[in-house]
Amino acid sequence: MKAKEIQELIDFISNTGLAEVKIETDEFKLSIKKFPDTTVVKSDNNPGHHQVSNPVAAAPVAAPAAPAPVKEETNNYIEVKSPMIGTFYRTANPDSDPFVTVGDRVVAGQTVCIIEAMKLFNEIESEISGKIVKVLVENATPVEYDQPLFLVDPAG
Amino acid sequence: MYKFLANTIFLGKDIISLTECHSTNDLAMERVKAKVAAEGSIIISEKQTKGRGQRGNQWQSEAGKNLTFSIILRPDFLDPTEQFDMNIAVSLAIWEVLNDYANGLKVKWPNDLYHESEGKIGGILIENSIGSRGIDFSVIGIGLNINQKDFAISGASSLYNLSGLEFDRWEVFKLLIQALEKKYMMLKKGGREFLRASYIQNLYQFGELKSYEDGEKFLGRITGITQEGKLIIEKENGTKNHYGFKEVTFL
Repeated sequence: MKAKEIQELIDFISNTGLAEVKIETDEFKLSIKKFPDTTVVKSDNNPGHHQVSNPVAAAPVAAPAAPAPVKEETNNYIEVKSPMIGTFYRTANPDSDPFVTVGDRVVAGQTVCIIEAMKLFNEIESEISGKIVKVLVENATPVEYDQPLFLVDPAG
Repeated sequence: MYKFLANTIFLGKDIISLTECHSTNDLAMERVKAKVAAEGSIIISEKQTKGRGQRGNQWQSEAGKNLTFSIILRPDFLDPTEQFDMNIAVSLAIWEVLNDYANGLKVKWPNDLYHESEGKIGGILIENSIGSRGIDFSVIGIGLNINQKDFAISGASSLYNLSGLEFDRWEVFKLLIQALEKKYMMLKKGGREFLRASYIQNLYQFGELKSYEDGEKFLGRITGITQEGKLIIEKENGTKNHYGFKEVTFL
């Protein structure tokens, strides 16, 4: 079952009055509950995790005894990379606050850092919206072309 | 107040002329972020209350005596890794105009307008906005000392101090905008190597045996720049080093 199909199923169920739905076929088992703080869907035929942001939450079928929120998977995070060689700055000026810190929500197009090269200053925009999960480079240190600078959780 | 330049193709068709603002570069970038910026727009101010130089530095300029302005460009033909070519085009355009008014002017790498004995008469602050498609907008901040006579810091000068003449700043401004447009079009239309060669020829201390410091003092000659704009200095022993900004000091 594809992630998109699961998403559609959750959307469908969320529009009904049901608090809990269990579906079982030859291919997969799926259990969906309206618990606000669990956010992981898992089906038996797909080892990957699909994160969904939806008012309806699904409890993991593979571990029915542990319906608590499952730890977030880093492979769903998106990297903001350096478009050039230069020096990485987290602030607009030496005495100003960082553009972003861990936990901040950013929207696509928002400036997240400055890369300076040969006295030319580049405001780097995040390509995606989400939550800053990690800052990967120290302020005022050199960065290479394509080096990851931030981890962003698009579902955050 | 709005002004208009007639003898250009696209640069300066929309000029916002202010008696005072915090920083023309900040104002220009605010317009970029607010998505109301158009290529070729210029913001010029008689006075900046928070004029900026390079990171953390102020740009000090006596109100009503000089030129401080910012140009908004969209160099979508340039990859972020090629942006030093924009710096070359801008530096060279300004140098060409000022060179008609005073002798002994050079471009001090990477982008100061510099007199061989009197010091700095102008600076450039380029700030790019980089999105998913590369350089989205480029804000070119230019500060030139024109008619200012007294300077609080040493190593700064003006066209007046170099020539003994007062200048009509609007006339100088018009010439600068025309030269900037010409060099920008040349950059766009494949004239990069020509621009690079001219830039290198007009670099302060190019080819001269001079003292530098890169952790230790040494004698060397500037021989050129790398693709990304690093300064190449050949030491007396024949080794060639590449320097980023602040990695080498002119002594």
